[in-house]
Amino acid sequence: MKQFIFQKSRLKDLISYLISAYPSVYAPVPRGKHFVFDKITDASSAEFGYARTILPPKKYLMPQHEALVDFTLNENLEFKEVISADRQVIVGVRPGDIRAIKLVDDIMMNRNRDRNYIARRENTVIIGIDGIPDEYSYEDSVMDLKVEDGFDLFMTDLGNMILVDVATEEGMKIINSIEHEPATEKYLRLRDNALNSQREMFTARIDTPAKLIPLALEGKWDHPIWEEMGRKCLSCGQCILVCPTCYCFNVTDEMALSMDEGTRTRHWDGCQLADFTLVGHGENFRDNAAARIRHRFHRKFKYHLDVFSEIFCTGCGRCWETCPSGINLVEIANALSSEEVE
Amino acid sequence: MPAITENSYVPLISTIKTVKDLTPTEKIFEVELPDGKQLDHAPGQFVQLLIPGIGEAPISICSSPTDENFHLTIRRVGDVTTAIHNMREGDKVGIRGSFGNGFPVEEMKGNDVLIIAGGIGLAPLRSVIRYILANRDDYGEFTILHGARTPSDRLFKDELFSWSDSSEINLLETVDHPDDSWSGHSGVITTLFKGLTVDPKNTYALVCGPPVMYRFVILECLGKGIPDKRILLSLERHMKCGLGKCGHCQINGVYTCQDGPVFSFNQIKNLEEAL
Repeated sequence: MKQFIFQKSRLKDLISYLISAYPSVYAPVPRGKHFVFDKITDASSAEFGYARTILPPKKYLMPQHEALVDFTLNENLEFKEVISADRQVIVGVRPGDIRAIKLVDDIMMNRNRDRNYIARRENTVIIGIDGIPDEYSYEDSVMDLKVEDGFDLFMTDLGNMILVDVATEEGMKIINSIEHEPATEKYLRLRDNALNSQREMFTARIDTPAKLIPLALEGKWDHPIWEEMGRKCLSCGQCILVCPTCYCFNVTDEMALSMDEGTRTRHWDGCQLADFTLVGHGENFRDNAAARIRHRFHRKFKYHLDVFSEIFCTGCGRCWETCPSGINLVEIANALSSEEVE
Repeated sequence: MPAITENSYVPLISTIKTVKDLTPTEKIFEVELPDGKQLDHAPGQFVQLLIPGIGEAPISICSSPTDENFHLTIRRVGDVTTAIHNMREGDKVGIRGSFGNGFPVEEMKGNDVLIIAGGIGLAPLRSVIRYILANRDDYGEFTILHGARTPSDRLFKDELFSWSDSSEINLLETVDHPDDSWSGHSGVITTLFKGLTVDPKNTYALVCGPPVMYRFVILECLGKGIPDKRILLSLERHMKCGLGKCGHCQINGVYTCQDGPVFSFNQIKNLEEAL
């Protein structure tokens, strides 16, 4: 990996270059009180002073609604794979979201390879930027804030200058579009200082080292925290829809008005919705909110950890901020681990 | 592993060869894959059945790989199953799969086999019953315990009749609610265990039925001394992909579509939510 620095005022030029060179450039833009990733056609629309976007950039790799197969129903019944993936750049991706993309990559690209996801992923350039924690952020409790891969470029804001890590050839090509110079030791030290002062900014913390949460979960299947949270939960599913590491889905057949053709479409779906595990004859294998919250927590902090040695939570705080009942995984994790101390 | 189409979501356009009524709510469909393709499934596996324009549902394969084409026994309960109930010979459906692990028929060789089938649970087990009958010399004592709600709910009545007549199988049947046509045993399926002789050292118990049945049947099997790892249970879950991704079939950390649907009791006794 190579490091360079460039003047912050050049960032606009870099984004203008991206807009001219790629069919689609996505960046954080303000929307009401929040930020969202959206397509930009003007470099000045992108704003990087945000804590989190409503939805993670996952939506450009695995869209909310995605055509998988087109079919025709006339006498020639026919199914045709749909794969559409244009070159795209996502700029301004936080370290947690970069890590989340790596986790979902592993699921979609390494076992029962998903051709639609792979096509989008291989056509995607990722330009990261260091994070700005707020009261809902807890990345520091679940991951290393310094991401080493999963991006083409990664920018760290050092005031007037931006330090950039270049991880790929394509990233090098992009950085060559603006004036830059090799980063000296001084700037690398400044980056370390910036990361250290960022670590001080987190107010939400999981008390246990996150990789030890599976141990804290032993014997806690019937812990009162699940019922307590279950009583608050509205089963609205917002938490799973905003989660950067959730990838569960539904597949439906959608007919055109003509009724002689249609599309098999994949939609985001998730385990917090009440009918997620409902089968035809009426049995629902997780029929209450407490069991569903317990499942979500285990999925983030145990099941995937057992198989992939990875925590499937990046501490982005989206589920917490969006939950109408204020349910959050930090409170659950701390309730589970505090028992040991008592 | 399923590899019959290059894209995992594109089904093979297949033809319904025959349709037969089994009960007022269940039919059996013989399905032929295109271009002479063979499903080459293992007994106990399932396919994703697609009715174009309606949707997809996971359906157990009820025939043995030793049979010609393959068979699906389908109860009419939802959109997809109602749609196929309205289809006729020659109509086209989509097939993806086969998926899942199936029963370990190789490992079971040389052992006694005890089948415990409740209601439509007989359908997936029929695949292994027919497989064992086609390879009868490879297996020891072969016993089937079969329970249905009422005599008219019994699936595969002709086959049940021939199995009851056969010296190769010991078939014991019961119904929950007998009527005038029924002179056999009545009561829940666990009542068939009374007086049953099992050699626990070399018996595999294969179980499929409604969710409520499993706990009680497992206790009976354990009571006969059959070890955890030779009590094999086929589980039902909602499924959308069959590829271990969509999440619907997850039991704790396990994906039923890939790691199951057949689990030994040993594998799932500590898996909360499995039973």
